[in-house]
Amino acid sequence: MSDTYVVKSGRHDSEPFDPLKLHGSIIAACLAVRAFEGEAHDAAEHVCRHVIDWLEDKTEVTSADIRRVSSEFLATYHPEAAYMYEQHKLIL
Amino acid sequence: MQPYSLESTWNIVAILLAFAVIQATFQISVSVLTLLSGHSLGKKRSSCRLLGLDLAYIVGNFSMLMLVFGAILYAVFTAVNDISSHDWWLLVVAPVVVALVILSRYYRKGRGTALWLPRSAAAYLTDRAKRTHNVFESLMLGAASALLELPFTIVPMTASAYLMILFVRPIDHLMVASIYCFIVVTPLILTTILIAGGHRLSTIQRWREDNKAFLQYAAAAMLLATALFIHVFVSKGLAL
Repeated sequence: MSDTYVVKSGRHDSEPFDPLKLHGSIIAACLAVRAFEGEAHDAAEHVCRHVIDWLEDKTEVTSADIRRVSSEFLATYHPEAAYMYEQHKLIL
Repeated sequence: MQPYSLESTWNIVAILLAFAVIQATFQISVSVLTLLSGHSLGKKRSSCRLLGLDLAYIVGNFSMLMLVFGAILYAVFTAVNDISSHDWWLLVVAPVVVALVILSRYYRKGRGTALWLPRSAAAYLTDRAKRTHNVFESLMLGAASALLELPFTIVPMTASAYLMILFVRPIDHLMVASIYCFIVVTPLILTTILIAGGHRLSTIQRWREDNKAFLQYAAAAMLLATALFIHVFVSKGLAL
């Protein structure tokens, strides 16, 4: 568990960054574009590592920051999944 | 009035078809279907289950459209005797107003296909799509998304209902309303076919994002054209 806190959109409270939650959402984004399961797990693992490194010197970030940065890292491993991950809040 | 002359019949068919196609370009239902399919695929649900959820969503959407159209038909039917020939201008002005609102407000500025919906309503629908596990919930989600589209669909539906009351035999109302609603849900059927055929959601969403301006201008232009058509239709004395 990281020491960084995440402020959710539309709320004033924050919660500790949970890498497992990020891992799950990256896997879901990959599976949504019909990636193979192994491919999805690999991409999620890499993205989580990058995001944890990125959070190293930060004490508080927003969930939108996490989504933006994660989709940037994910684009390296699976561009289509990155697009859907980024679009999630912009579809409706 | 020349309700069943060939000329007026074809004019009415053209106007009803135009209103149905315009309504089919509205995007809330397609957006929610995209979210529903995305969450289903993300949760590793089988293709059969995904297809079942999508079909239930379409049935819910179609059923709600039929109910709303039926209610509007009944309301127009009870009010039609109070509507004078001078009220025809409403059939021209209302589509023009909706066309202007579509041009200025239908999509939010920026990336994606974010729509005019208040963000709380969009968040609620997104959450409901995520929590939809069975066909009944999917059916209800389809019905809810059809209702949320009402601020924009009410005008084409009311205008169509008015024309149907005046020019279509009562015995044909159910058939015409069914065809109208079927045309409206055609984009949902096409999206479901694409997803069931193995196409990626990202491809569908990218197409929607790339063509959102086209869909917006097409809907507005068709509404304006239909309003002009009705104006000419009425001013030539064909309708009344």
